[in-house]
Amino acid sequence: MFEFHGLLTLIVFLPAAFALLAALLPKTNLKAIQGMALIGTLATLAVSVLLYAQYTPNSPHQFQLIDKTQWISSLHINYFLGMDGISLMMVLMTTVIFPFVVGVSFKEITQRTREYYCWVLVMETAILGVFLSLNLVLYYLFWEGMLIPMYFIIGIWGGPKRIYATVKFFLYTMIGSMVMLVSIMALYFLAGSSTFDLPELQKHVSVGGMFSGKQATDILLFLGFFLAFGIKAPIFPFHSWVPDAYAEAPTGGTIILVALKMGLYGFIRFCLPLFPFAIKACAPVIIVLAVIGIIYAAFVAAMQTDLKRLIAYSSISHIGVIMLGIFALTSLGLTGAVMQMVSHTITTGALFILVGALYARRQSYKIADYGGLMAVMPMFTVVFLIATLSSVALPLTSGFTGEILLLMGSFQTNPWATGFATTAAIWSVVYMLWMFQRVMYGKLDKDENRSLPDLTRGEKLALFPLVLLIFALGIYPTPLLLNKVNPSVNTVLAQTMPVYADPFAAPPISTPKLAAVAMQPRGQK
Amino acid sequence: MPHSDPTLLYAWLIPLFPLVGFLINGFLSPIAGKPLPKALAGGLATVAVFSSFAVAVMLFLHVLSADAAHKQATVFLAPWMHVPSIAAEGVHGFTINFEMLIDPLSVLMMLIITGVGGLIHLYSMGYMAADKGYQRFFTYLNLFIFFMLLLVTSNNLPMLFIGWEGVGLCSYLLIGFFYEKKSAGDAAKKAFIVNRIGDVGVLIGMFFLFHYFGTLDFITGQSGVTGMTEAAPALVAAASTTVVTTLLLMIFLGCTGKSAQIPLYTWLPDAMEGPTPVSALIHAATMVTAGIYLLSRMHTLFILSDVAMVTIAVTGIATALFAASIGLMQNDIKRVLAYSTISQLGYMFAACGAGVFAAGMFHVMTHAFFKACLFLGSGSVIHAVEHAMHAAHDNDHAPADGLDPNDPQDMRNMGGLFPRIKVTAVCMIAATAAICGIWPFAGYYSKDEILFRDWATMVHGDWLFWGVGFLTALLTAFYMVRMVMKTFFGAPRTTAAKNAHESGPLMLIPIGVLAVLSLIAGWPILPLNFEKFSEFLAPSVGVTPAANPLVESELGLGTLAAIALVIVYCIFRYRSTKNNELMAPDARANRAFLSPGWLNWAILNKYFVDEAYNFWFVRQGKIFSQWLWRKFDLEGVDGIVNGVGALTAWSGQRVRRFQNGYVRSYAFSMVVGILLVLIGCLVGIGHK
Repeated sequence: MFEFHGLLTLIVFLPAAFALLAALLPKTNLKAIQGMALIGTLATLAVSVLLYAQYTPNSPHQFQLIDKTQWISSLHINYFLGMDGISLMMVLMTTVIFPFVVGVSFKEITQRTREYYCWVLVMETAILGVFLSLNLVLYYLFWEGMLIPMYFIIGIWGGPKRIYATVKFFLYTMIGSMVMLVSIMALYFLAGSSTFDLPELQKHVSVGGMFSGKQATDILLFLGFFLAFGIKAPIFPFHSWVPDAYAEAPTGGTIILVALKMGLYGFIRFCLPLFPFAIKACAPVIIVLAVIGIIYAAFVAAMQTDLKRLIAYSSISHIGVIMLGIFALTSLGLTGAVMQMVSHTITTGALFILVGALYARRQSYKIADYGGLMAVMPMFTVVFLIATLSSVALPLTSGFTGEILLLMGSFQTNPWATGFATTAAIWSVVYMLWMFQRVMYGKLDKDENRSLPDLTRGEKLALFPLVLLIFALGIYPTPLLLNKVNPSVNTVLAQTMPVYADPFAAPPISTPKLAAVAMQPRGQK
Repeated sequence: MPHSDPTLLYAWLIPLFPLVGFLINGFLSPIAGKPLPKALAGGLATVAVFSSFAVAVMLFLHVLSADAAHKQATVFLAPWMHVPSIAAEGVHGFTINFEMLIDPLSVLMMLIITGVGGLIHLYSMGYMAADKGYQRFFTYLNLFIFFMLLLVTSNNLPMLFIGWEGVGLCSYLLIGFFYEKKSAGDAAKKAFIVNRIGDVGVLIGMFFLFHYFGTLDFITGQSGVTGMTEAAPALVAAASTTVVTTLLLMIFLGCTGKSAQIPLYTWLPDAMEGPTPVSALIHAATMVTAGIYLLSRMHTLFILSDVAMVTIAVTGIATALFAASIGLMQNDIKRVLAYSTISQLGYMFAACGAGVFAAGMFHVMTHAFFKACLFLGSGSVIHAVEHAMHAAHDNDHAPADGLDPNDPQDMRNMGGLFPRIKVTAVCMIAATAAICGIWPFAGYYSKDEILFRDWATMVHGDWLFWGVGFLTALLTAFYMVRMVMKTFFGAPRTTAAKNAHESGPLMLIPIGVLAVLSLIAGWPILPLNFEKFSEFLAPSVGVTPAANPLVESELGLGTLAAIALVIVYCIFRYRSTKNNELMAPDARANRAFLSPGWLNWAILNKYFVDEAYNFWFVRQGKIFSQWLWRKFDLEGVDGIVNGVGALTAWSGQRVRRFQNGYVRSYAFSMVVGILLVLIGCLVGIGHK
């Protein structure tokens, strides 16, 4: 019962500890507060690198570095943190992006700075908690806890429509969370489980387990999770909070929102192992929603006149592709989905930093206010182009590695849907390059733009590492990421597959054999 | 059987040199904050490409001397993507390596790319000398060479796709090189988007291949999975014909995008917005032939599907005729050449579709020589006219017929240039003879071969293929000679044309070298003739069945005579007409259906294909997207979300009235409640 390595607890609460330290600093000492926040996020990053080094991919234990102890024993709630390759990547992605969140805020946030950095650090704790919790109640606490800092970050430091955006974000996410809480409770009682621990609950889900003969219950409980994750992801048609929240949040807040892959992670971590039958039943609908989302959001993105909203809609489109990868239920698709989650965070994060840099110069997100910037900002243009290309999945950037794995895997189970989804390669070029042309190319015909400075030293510090990451993941993904993720993906699939292959009936067959049948290409039967 | 040969590791130097050149010009010097001196920047880029050429020659000698079993070799560098299979049986592991394929086909392409590419680099040092984006230009150019080399040397489709999309990117950057011009930005974007449509085809083709055959490698390499070209028949037996045909057509869609065939050709004429050396390098000699390269690379798969082969042949020959007819009426010298490129690429596809991939590749090579020569020559012409225009500031005749008197690319502003720029003119006339297929120029051998093969195989539509090919050859002769006549002969039509001066040696040497190559490539007495060529390529693209030389020479002579007739007629007409215009203004104004004026109008406007695409795809797409955003998303989806919020607020407002704090109203509701409960009980009792 009691197992404690300590590293995971350390990484989860380290940012919160720094938030406390920052809160103790005098309000007026801006430099010290900023420094504290930056050191806090960098220290967390250092710990996550340690995690990366400590993690052994091919171990027989699915979860490693476990911190597990009794917490509220009367309710069977444990404090239970654990990590596998998938959550490792999520943690790394988060800790990598947070120093940038802090860094881009140095200039932008001028009011109530101490408060701001405290909330940002608390936010990091909540996100890391979500990625590492293996007890559903603990998980839920972190999941809900994330709402509070985000509410303030958008609501206090956001743009002109910030109150509308933040209330919408809060209520929308809240509705999903409430339904998920009901599902969590129902799952616990139905399973007759002794704890809320994920591995424990998972044991009750198998052929002849808690859902045998209860398809409706199974699907209802799954939908509870689906709503919460689908809203957060976001998946069409639950996406409409995204453009408002992304556009109104300060740059740092927008980047946090981009890095919030909790919904997608939730599908992989909780839905696949816990609801294999329901996923079998619902996957077609989800896949249709994903494909609609991909194309729909791309079309809408093309029409945007505001840079931030354009990238927000492009995000919705990319998330649809990731959904497709997850619900393909193939190792390629799932690995690609994880890869693409990381890549999307880095790429879109870089894009928002760039747009934020433009805003800092011109106080406008309107595409029409720019044009011809290549003449005055050549280096900015190059970095912008690289981020754009990663976003449209050009080979050798991280976006391509994720997308090709994902689509390749998705094609194995859903060829038609994947065919439609692949057209995203066209649409993404339409909206991204059109935007790029309108901002960078053409004559420098607006007087205000004539004297815009190129990248400053601070901006270079923020952007060059991200550019390096884009190429590193694009050129050398196997040792960096894939080898760490593959075994975990296979474990998750092995938990899903045996039941998936033969829902609601049949005697159990050995895992590898069935997995093989399920994975077999159609043409070779 | 794996073909790994680690001793060839030096082959990786070939793409490495241009990459290093790109990094120095593009990153090191900007980050250091000082641009390199022009001669150094351009020189570095040029030396990088010629170094690659030297290594390519070494490889060529290696392949030439290797015994039959070692003509094909793979060189592994590093892993790229690896996802193991989930279970041992029935599931393919996904392993993609950075791995080169060295065989006659790839070596040939390497030689063309680095050889012609190097010459064009040299030429650019002269052509771009006055441009402020000099260093940027060479950065892009080296990057292009790097990607193009990756494309032709990769041993698997994803790595080929790096090059495939990479050259598309460089094409985008170079078409939009003069980024301040809106037309340049538009053309660049159009090229990228249209190419992307094809790329989706290649991607889906890859998905099919991996799903059904479990491999994306061309030949067996480091991963140990049997390569697709080697195992093609066995693999295809495992899947249905529909699957094979679909996947091949998908790949072919990609080829039509990259190689500018119907229906995706519209980007290439617009691509002429880029600097002229770019048109020579990317849009004539190298990138646009990637489609033919890919077909040849995968030919063991393609020949398994008759539907795919017929589609390729029909598309190719139709494009050849269609583009040639548009070329008849263009006034912009570069656009004439652009349509001619599309048309010649169509020939190459026709050859592939007829199953003679070697003939297609031979035409790729000769076309690289004479079309690069023509483009570089046209650059020299434009350069000469432009400089004279700048010097003269002349506006000596009023704009008419949409003619811009300051447009140095419009042939109506030229005329009589032959005595003024003799070297350029002679070289261009040589290349024109080559493209027309005049004996003994290179085009005679390569085009003749394709025409004859279409005659000889006659599998798809008998006479028709040869007939259309023959007709296209006549049209080609006409529009090319028309171009030469309007540019170099007759009286000069502007003062600029009168004052034009020859370009410097940096530009003339590459033109000269290419002109010589356009003359001699294919001569039977030289080792570069078609028999030797197809023998060399045999390990990669198979041996073509022996032709009947008797019919071939008769057909060839007949074609030659017809072409010569057209040329003589053309020269005669253009010498005798006033102002080098064939049609009188009043005949042109008459647009009655199918009249000469109407035909002129339709062809001049490129059959309105661009307009149709714009209307149906761009305009309707925008209208639909606007509706999707404003109506569906904001009012529909978001409207429901906000509506739920508003409903809650509204009902809250209503319900709030009950909480008004008056005891009398609470008492009233209590009484109502008690009454309801009582009634409920009574009704309930009644039911019992």
